[in-house]
Amino acid sequence: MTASRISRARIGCGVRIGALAALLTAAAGAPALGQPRTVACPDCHPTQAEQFHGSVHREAVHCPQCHGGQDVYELTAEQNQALLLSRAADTQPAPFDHGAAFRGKPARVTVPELCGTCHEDVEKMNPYGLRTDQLRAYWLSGHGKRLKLHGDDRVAVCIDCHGIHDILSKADTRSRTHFSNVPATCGHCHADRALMSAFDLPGDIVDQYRHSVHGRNLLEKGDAGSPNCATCHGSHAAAPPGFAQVGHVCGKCHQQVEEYVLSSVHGRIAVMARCTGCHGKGGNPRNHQIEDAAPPPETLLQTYTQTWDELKGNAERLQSTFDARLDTLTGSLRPDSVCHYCHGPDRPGPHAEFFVTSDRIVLERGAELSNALRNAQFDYAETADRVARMSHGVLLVRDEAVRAEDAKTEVVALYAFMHTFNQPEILKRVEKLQAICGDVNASLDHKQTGLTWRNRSLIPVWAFAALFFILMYRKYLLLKQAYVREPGQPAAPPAEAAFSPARRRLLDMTLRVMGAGAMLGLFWPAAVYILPARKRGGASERVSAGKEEGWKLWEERRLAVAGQPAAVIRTDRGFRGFSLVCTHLGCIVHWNEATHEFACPCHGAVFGAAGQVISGPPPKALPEYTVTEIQGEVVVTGAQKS
Amino acid sequence: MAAEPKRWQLYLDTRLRYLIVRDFLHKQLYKRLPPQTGWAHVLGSLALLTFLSQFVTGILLLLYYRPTLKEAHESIQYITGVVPFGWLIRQLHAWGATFMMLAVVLHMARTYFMGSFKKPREFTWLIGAGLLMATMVFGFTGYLLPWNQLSYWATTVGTEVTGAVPLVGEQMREILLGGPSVGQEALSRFFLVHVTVLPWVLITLVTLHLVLMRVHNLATLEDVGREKPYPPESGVPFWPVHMAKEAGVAVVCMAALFTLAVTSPWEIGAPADPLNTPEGIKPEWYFLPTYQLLKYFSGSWGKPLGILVSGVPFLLLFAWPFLERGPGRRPSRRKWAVRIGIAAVVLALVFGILGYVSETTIRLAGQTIAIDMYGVPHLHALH
Repeated sequence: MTASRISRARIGCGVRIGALAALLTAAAGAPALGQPRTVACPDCHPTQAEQFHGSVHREAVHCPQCHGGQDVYELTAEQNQALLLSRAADTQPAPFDHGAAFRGKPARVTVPELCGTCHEDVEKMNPYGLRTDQLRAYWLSGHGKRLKLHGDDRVAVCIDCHGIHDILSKADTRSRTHFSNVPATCGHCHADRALMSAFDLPGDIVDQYRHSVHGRNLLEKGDAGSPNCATCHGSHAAAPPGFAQVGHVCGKCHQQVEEYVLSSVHGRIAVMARCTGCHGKGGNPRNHQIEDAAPPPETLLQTYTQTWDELKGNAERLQSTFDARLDTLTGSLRPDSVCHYCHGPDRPGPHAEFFVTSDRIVLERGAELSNALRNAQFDYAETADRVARMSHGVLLVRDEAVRAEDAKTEVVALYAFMHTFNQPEILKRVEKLQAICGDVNASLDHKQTGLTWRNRSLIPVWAFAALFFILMYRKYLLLKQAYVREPGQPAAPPAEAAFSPARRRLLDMTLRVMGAGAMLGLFWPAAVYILPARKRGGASERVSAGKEEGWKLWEERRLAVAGQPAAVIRTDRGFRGFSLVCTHLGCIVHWNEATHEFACPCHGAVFGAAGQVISGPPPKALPEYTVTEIQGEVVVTGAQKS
Repeated sequence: MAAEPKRWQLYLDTRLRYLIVRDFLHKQLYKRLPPQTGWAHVLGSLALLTFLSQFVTGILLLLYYRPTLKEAHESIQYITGVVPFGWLIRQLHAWGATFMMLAVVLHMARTYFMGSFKKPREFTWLIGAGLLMATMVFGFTGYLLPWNQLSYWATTVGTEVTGAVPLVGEQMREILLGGPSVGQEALSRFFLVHVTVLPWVLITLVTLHLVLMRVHNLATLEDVGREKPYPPESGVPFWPVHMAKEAGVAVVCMAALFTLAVTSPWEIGAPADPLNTPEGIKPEWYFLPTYQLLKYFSGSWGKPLGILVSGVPFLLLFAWPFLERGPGRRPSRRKWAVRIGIAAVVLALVFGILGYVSETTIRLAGQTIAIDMYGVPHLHALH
């Protein structure tokens, strides 16, 4: 018997005993008409009791705490008869006097304080690890303020979001406060246009959210990390952020981007740094349909591959078709398509005239940056597609695949970096990305040209085979002449008649040389094949990171393990090997020798020298590889440490 | 006879007694083949040549191949992409399998249509049929070893057939795979059979085949029991006359093998993924007729029946020398045998082609034609 069971029995005793009593009377076979009887709340309120039994409160709360009155009531013989009769006839029982202390259904305005009686009590909440500032937070919320100041009970109170008798933990997927149900819970009021119009609020924000990148990730992909209403607005203290705060709200998750925006020309004026102005329906200050501006690299690759397949590699139309496709994708905006929300003829305000010239420059620059981004996206997709196509062919393109991952990292990092609006630096980044793509392509070209000599070698091989065959046939005829006689015929005329000894010697000599050549041609590749390989890595999952000698403390050496970028660091506790693929979105992290940390260029994540997450969004540490030293050689084993 | 032994040869022979072997081999080498020996008679040696090529390239591949789930595909990548000439060795081995099969089948067809299997060469034929089987098992076991999607799924589908045998089928399949599905145990078993068991089986059978061939010499087209002895000087000596012809053919054959290795190489492929079945999984061409034939049988009775029916051609193959016992060897004297032979070839071709095009879509004259698993084309309206 565990403590929880005992306490459950004790706390729910009113309910239990009542049920037990009813059961006993039924079992006794006596309907007990016209006899006094003890009843508990569930006897008359079975629906509520059932809901309550499934709720989180079943152990800690019982009915009188919210409703007043008693757990158990003694019925007189008449009351009992009336109750049993109404139940038999399935009609509403007569009003029952619950006593003086009975409060009945609490008024909506009193609900927050009522819940607060327990939820503000630190001693009571401590065992459950629940916060006790929720009521205070509520009074600061838009809902609470209106309730307190105007006594307006149309606003949300505790029960609207948590339920009444059927309150569940937010970890329960059926709960109204489970992350995936929050939009529907808020939408219960905020999607009600009639109700919202009374407060001069839009009734379509939940709908907008559902179609936003966050809503799609949360509701369609079930991504718990994607924000719901409460993530941005708060839960108990729910309130819309002011324009100046929007950037910070988004920055809770998009730290790196916030940093860039604040350092940018737009960051100088807080109001201009609000993300919602550009990401989504432009110009709408209450925009909830927040959109990606640029598709993730996987989508770029997919789009490119599709386009390439359809156009059969028609290089001329490839980029224009790819660009056009990107424009039609959800969550893909040309950056310059949003500039005119603020910069342009529609600009409101008295200074519109003043900005005409600068607006033109801004729009030109926006177009330039957009083109640069599109080129970067195209170059990445083209390279990644080429690597993917070649990866299962006849060439080993593992190093190129690792470099393509670098390019992918640059793309994601560039997306964030665009928020600096720092044109020269952005163009530099694009160039860096293009340089990586160029390297990969050059390397692939080199490998492919390596293939052409195989094709070219067909000509000499066939020339050799044809010549050999012709000469051998000649030799065959001569041999046949020399060795085979028709039955009863004399020996054939000496071959010299047709073939002079000199020519015959030449034929024999040629055939011998060719035969030796053919043997050499067969044995040479086999010999080269057998010679020990200079560079190991593929067949074994063990990759050498080089000699231990001369390896400085905290120095990093990069290598590819199982086709993925990895690094070995000489730490003060020996060599350690890590995968360099960020556990957040798969960007490639960089080792900082000075701070002994890995930094991810995409979202500013930082990992420690043991691979652990120090800051930023990654869900887990960098995977570690086993590193061993074998005779001064540092060897990484492909299997990840668990 | 070989030339008189020189002094150093006598010195060695006193101690090694090797001259008797040398003389025996010399006699074998210079043995005269019948005067009718023609170009069609090079096919047997060609099969031997392809086998030798497989033997050598196979040993070379073993240097770097590792038969484990973790390393099999990695090692194929390594052989194909890193080891110098690894690509060539692998391609020669992969295409060599097709060449070997082709040579064996053509050699068998020649033997059949020229009636060479008749008395006294019935057992030579039997061993030959065994060699065909061994070659097929070689192909089947070797196909799994690269451990890519194609090989994994072709093997999965291929071994499903065994499971359809009544009563013992499931057990047979599990013994074959070493478990309920294709995994490390299956890879180990296939590898073991491919590199240790089958080579010995093949060497033994080839040796017996060659010995019998030498004992009975090549068959002519003369009727059984009416073969006229030919004067020795009119026979074609195996060495050097017949060999000259074969050397020419061999070089052309190797060049063709090299051409295929270069122009249509076998890909490294995506690593085997047991959770993701790719589309259009087909067995190797020499299994296509059986594969297609089996499709027409389904259900709990149909499947065993299908196995029975597809086994008939192979049973006939083994039993044929004892079924067709007439003396005629010339095709004109064996009209029915030739008709059956041609029918078998045509059937194999038809089922093979049906199997090849089944479950594919082809575009013909602007129409998209989808061919279902039974090889029946369905016209699709253009989208």
